[in-house]
Amino acid sequence: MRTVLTLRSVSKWYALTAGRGRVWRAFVGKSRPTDNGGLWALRDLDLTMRQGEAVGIVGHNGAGKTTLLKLISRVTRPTSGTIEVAGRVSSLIELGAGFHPELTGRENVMLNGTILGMSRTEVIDQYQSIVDFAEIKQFMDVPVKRYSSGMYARLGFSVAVHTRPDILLVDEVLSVGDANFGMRCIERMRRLRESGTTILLVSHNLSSVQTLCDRALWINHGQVAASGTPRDVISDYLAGVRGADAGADTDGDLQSPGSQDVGVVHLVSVKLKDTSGLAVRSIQTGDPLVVACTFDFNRSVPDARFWFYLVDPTGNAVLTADMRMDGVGMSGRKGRVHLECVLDTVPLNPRCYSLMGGMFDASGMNWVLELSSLGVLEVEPDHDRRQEGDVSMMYRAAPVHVPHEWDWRYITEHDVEPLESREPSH
Amino acid sequence: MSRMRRLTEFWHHRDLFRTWTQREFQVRYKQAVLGAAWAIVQPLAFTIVYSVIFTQIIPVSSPDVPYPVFVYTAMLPWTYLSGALTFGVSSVVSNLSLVTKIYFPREILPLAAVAVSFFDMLLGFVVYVGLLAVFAVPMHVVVLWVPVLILFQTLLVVGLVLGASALNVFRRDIRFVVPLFLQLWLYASPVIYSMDLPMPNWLRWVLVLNPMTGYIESFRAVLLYGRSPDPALLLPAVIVSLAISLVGLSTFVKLEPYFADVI
Repeated sequence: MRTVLTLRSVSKWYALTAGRGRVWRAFVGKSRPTDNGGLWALRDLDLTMRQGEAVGIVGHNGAGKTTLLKLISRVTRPTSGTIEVAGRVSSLIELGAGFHPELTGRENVMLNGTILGMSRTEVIDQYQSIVDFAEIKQFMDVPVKRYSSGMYARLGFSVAVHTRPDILLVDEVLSVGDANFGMRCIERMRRLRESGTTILLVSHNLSSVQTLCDRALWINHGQVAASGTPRDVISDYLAGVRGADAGADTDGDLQSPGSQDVGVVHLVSVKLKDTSGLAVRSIQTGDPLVVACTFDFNRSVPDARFWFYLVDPTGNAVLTADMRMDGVGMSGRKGRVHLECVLDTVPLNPRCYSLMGGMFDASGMNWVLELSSLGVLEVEPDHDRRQEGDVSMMYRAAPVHVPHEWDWRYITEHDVEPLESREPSH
Repeated sequence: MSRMRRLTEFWHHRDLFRTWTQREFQVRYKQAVLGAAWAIVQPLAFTIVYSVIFTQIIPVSSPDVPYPVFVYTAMLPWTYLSGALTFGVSSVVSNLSLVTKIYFPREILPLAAVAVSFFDMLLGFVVYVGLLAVFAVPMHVVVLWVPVLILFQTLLVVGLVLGASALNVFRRDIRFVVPLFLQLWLYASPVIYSMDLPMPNWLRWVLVLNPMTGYIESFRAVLLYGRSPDPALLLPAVIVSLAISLVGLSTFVKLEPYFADVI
């Protein structure tokens, strides 16, 4: 497959202070980074993408992920390095960014389509398909200022994917709108990729990265910290997040405002295991699962309450285990604690789920361990259903799967009750 | 980015230019009761006010033609310039949500502002033809100069709007400077008076170097007097317009890569 995107030691410097003489420096072409009042959003980044590849980007807020997408889409220019792009780039950095509130949906489709580089005839040809995908046919002649945020996002996404981009840049957009739409977005992106579109996906939802991407990149402080299969990169990333937390705890300054106790508990490790105690990364629908965590309590927390939940690729929580609901607490003394939660069954349809978790103190209000990603769990079709059923259907279905049986029979004349008896009798 | 690449890119986005211009036009007049009639109301209102002042209070001579027609003729090129500059100066800044999120040739934003004012002027011409009929001013074949004059004036307007909109991204003062600048410029142009009036030599020179003088006087010459434009007035205007358009364009090209970072 041919290369569609090449970044060679790309760096981007942002001046944070409104320095004087910037107009002048722009004029003479010397917009050189200065030591004070700025930061490197990206530093010497190399990236090559081939046609039809899907690459996921993970990293903290402010790690440079969005800057990377902006550089590729040419919204901004690199401070140094080169970027070569072959073909049309369409970006979903913000859905419906080009919409004007006063104009109708119909007018905005034309506007947004041409902003994204389509010709008027292309937009007209695609119009029906755009409207069908967004499912807002009856609102096309209404000004978009009267749209709900979901409708807004659906129309925005629909226009962007109909531009037939060679490269599609996606930034945290799957979480908008309802679950059904999120699922269809993923389907759509998968189909685009199969037809040769290259996708670069930035997401905090690790399960969507693992679901969609062939490759992942962890960007930390503007540099590539890891690259490889989504599974490896995600586990490196999560380990890195834990390591960084541990380091920050000793400095004692990684505290979010309003919650002084964050950082009291440090998460050492998370393991997903089967009932025999073997570590697993994937399970089958309905299998049991053991979530085993090790924590370091920096001081005693009476009645600490851990909770976690599984999130599907569209960002919806589908399964929760919460000590607060269960009325269980750990009387955590200073020191190391090992915790296991045994789920008798994980009744979820096949796909990737990300595991999120955190810990509260006794009040159930203050975080002692801030909510964070704990890992990714892949659920595969169970053996029986794999044999009999339509597997691709299972990936598209609603997430929860409860074992069930079907029973059907012919109704013979003998079974039908006589009509008379149905009439109300006094 | 090379000039050639910029041009092909603009050509590729020509449909966006059209759609965006349409959008600007729609948005500008959408919730206004009078709608696009506002394009005509403004020059007409100024024409009435100036006519009252300069015929009833301080009589100003308007050689051979009624004063209202004399002023309105100047209003056509003048409102083209002032409208384009007024709306165009903030054309990039007011679309920052777009500029920071999606790539497209940024010059489309100021150019669309110019295009809308251009259409406003065309509407103004419709009224003008009516006005000429009412005051029974005869038409001559030299009106064929009009498109040429508009073309050269467009160079001037495009240069100013490109430069002002780019500088306004960096220094928002520009937005406040523009109305003041336009007000002063109006009096430095022969809109309410004529170049035929006696005036000191130094002032005449200042007026000749003002490119709007050339366009306004040429508009009057071809529309009202059936004469060809005076080269002594038109030529300096064309030269200054060319210079301004080059400066404006290169300012825009230089500053454009930093728009998304500065906003």
